Amino acid sequence: MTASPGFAELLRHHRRAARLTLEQLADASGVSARTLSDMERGRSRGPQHRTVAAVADALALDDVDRKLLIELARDGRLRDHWQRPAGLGELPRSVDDFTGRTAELSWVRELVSAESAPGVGAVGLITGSAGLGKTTFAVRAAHTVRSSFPDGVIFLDLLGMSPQPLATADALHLLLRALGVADQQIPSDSRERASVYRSLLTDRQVLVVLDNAASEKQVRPLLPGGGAGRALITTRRLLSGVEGVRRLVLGPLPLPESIQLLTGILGERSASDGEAALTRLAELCGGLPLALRIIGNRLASRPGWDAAELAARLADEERRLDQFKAGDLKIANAFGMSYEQLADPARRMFRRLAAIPGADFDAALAAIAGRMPHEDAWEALDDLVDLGLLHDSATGRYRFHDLVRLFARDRLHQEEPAAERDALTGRTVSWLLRMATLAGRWFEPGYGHPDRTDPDLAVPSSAQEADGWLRVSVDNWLGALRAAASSGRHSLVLDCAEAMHWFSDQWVHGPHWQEVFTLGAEAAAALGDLAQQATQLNYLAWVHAIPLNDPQTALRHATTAMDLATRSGATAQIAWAHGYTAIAQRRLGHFDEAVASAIRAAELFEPLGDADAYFACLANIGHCLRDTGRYNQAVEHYRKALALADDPHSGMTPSIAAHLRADTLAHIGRCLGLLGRRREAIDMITEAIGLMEAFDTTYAQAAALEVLAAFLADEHQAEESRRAYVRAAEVHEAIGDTDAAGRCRNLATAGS
Amino acid sequence: MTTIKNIVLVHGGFVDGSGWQGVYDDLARDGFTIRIVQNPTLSLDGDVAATRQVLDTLDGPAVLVGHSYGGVVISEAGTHPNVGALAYIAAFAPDKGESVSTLIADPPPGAPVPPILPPNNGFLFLDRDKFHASFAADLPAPQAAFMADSQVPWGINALDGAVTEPAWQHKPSWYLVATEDHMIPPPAQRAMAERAGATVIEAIGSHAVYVSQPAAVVAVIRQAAQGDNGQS
Repeated sequence: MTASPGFAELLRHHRRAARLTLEQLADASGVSARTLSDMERGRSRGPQHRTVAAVADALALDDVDRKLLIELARDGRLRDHWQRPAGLGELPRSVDDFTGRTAELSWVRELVSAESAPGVGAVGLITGSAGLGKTTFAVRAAHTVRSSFPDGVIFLDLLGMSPQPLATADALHLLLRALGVADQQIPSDSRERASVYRSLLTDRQVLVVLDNAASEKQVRPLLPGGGAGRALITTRRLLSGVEGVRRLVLGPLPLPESIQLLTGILGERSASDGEAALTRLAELCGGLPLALRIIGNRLASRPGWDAAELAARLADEERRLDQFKAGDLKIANAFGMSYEQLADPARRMFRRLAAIPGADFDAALAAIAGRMPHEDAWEALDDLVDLGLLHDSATGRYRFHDLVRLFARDRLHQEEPAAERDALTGRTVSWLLRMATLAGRWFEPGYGHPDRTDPDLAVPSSAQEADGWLRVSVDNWLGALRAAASSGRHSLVLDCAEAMHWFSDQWVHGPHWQEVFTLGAEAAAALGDLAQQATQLNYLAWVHAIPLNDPQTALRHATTAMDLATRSGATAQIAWAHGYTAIAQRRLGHFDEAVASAIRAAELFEPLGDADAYFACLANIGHCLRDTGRYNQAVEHYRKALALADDPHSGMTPSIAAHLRADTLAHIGRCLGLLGRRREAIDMITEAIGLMEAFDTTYAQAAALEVLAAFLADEHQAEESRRAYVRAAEVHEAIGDTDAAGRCRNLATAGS
Repeated sequence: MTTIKNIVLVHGGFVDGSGWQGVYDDLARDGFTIRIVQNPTLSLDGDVAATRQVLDTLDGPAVLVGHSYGGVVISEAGTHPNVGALAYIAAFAPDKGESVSTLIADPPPGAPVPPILPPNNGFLFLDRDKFHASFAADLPAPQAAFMADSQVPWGINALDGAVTEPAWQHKPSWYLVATEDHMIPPPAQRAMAERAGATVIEAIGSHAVYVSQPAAVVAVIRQAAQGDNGQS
């Protein structure tokens, strides 16, 4: 089977089929022969939409061929443009045509490499008004000093200009993950997170780029303390309250560099525009790289347009608007020039995209916001990307520069009546929440792939796809959840929160579960649904007991849930409330109370036929007994649980049973070992580890290996013990617990 | 925290207040009331009196901004009750008893020496041929030539005028360091700024940064006007 032809091959094929030379096609299409030649030789894999459309017209392609050619060009563009960083905290690519800023780049180089006193020289802050290219500069600077940071460069957008800047605790979470700390090793307390973060930055030669910081309060805990780590901040404010920072204010690009940037964007056509016109255009852009890019893209995307004419119109516009406040005026003018030349659908799409709550979005959501068929949405998005009004990414997601977004929002308010705007918000919120509900239900036993869905939804075809959508779109559906809650659309909110129950177990350390289930509980209360309110409060108890590790609050929620569930006769929720109470009590060290609650929960779950929950209660009783040294009794409960997992007719979800069976074997083994029955223990744990190898590496596996290694050492099987420690170190390393990995490696060497 | 609505700009030696045009335009568009002091630079006392006269006419607090020698003037005049904040632009920020003369008396080895000609009847001039390179390297040559040829003679008494009560000890201050300054060495600027406890911002620019980069200067003034010291 041959690979399907790429854009270049297909273009050449069509040109030859039409019996045209490059020059003839150039004449017919208005696209230069050199550009055509570059495209045919694969040197320009992602030519702009307008260019391809002009070529397709000139070749008189039929609809099918035309569509294919345009799609291949789009794929090329998606590869070539801004790449949404794949890895956590990965530094974005630097733009190819970065221009000027030589002295500023040396300033950064000098700063980060300075052998300076602790606290001084560790942090550089780049400030300046919007559109000066602070982020582009910081990314460029980070690339140029990359080699000085053998432990890596981390990039984090703090969303300083959005209505919801990144919370410091969440920023620390992301930074710690990017530094290789596993979710379960990250403290729930924000202050502890900051201290772990600081201690890591003391030893590691890492550069942290904190883009678009909102405030002193947000950014202060994210700064290195004075060791090897360095940080570079971009912000529109001076953040005067942050100490030990060196600040650089970024000015406009000088005129010669502005012209250079513009010329670079225009490529070969700049010669025909003439130096005078380009100089005038560059002057009108006020040295703002963003304005230069937008204006340049506008000229480049319309081969027939004249730079001198554009400059004259821009100057007119500036005179007309001169009485307005300065600030972002030049930029708004540049945007206006591009906006006006768009066809109606693209204009409509552009301004309506401003209503999307999150930082980026895909074509499906754009189609909903723009209220147009998918094909038209693609077309409009292509136009917007061509003009630089939107950035696209390799993963098919789009985003605004925040200034462009403000401009779009302004257009939306100017051009669409209130009723239309309300309808826009209404359908976007509804779609996002119904999508999230649909995706969340994939993980719920008894749902999975839906039989029947609303025709407007983009149905995920697998659990993996649903998981991906929920994670990548989280700020969109969460924003929709907030909007729906504040406008009283309680049923939508409750459905969505309820659908997240099982998915939250897939993404235990997602930072927003507390908010999701709080909104769910409030929606249920507003609807007067006591049973559902109890359910949501139980989820909240889970959030506090497990990921947030705040057993006191968990206990409080579980108590309220129990009360509501009792009043409404929701037996299952009474059982869950007992179950979460047990978990919280155990975490508080109140083992007797924990056992009592777990027994009560188990008694309720058994007749309800919820075998998974019943199992969890038995295991929890086992943990409490083990933790208090009652190993024989613990083994008894674990064996009861194991029997449940072994019984194919128990009603347990098979995949859950398989995981828990392995965990339980390891727990029993550990108790047996502590009872002195080490041979039995070793066999049992070995079996457990064998089973665990089939699953994703987890903390349970690492812990089991470590226990096994200790028992083997006690049995004088030094070599086997050493191997188990080495493997334990590997697993710890894989899940990001470097401390534990180090401990196991030391034990491995100590024993040999 | 109230936002300051008035801005008073004080120029330095060898120049007059017209160099503030770019800064003025930007600030005016933001709605500030702006006064430019045409201080004669004959003596510190005279310049302080001229500045206080302007401050007296204001209806509320101002950010008092000084460039170069203007920094000495604002350090002395800044104790005026109508001054809410100070902004130093590549400026001297003397301590009690210090003057421009004492501050430049012992230049660190290797520091560029400004091409100031020997005093003539009690006035100083910059060497016209070296003006562009030393004072305004980031301005176009014709503009620098105009500034060189329209120089204001700088009185010896102005250089010798010592500060009695530095305002930066009492008022929040901001400092813009010009990193390519060949008149006041950037390390000296940083040291004075740090001593004054100012919030320091750097700009890649010459001593004439207030002409060449009005946007950077305005960024500093705007923040000073917002009282944005991050403690709120």
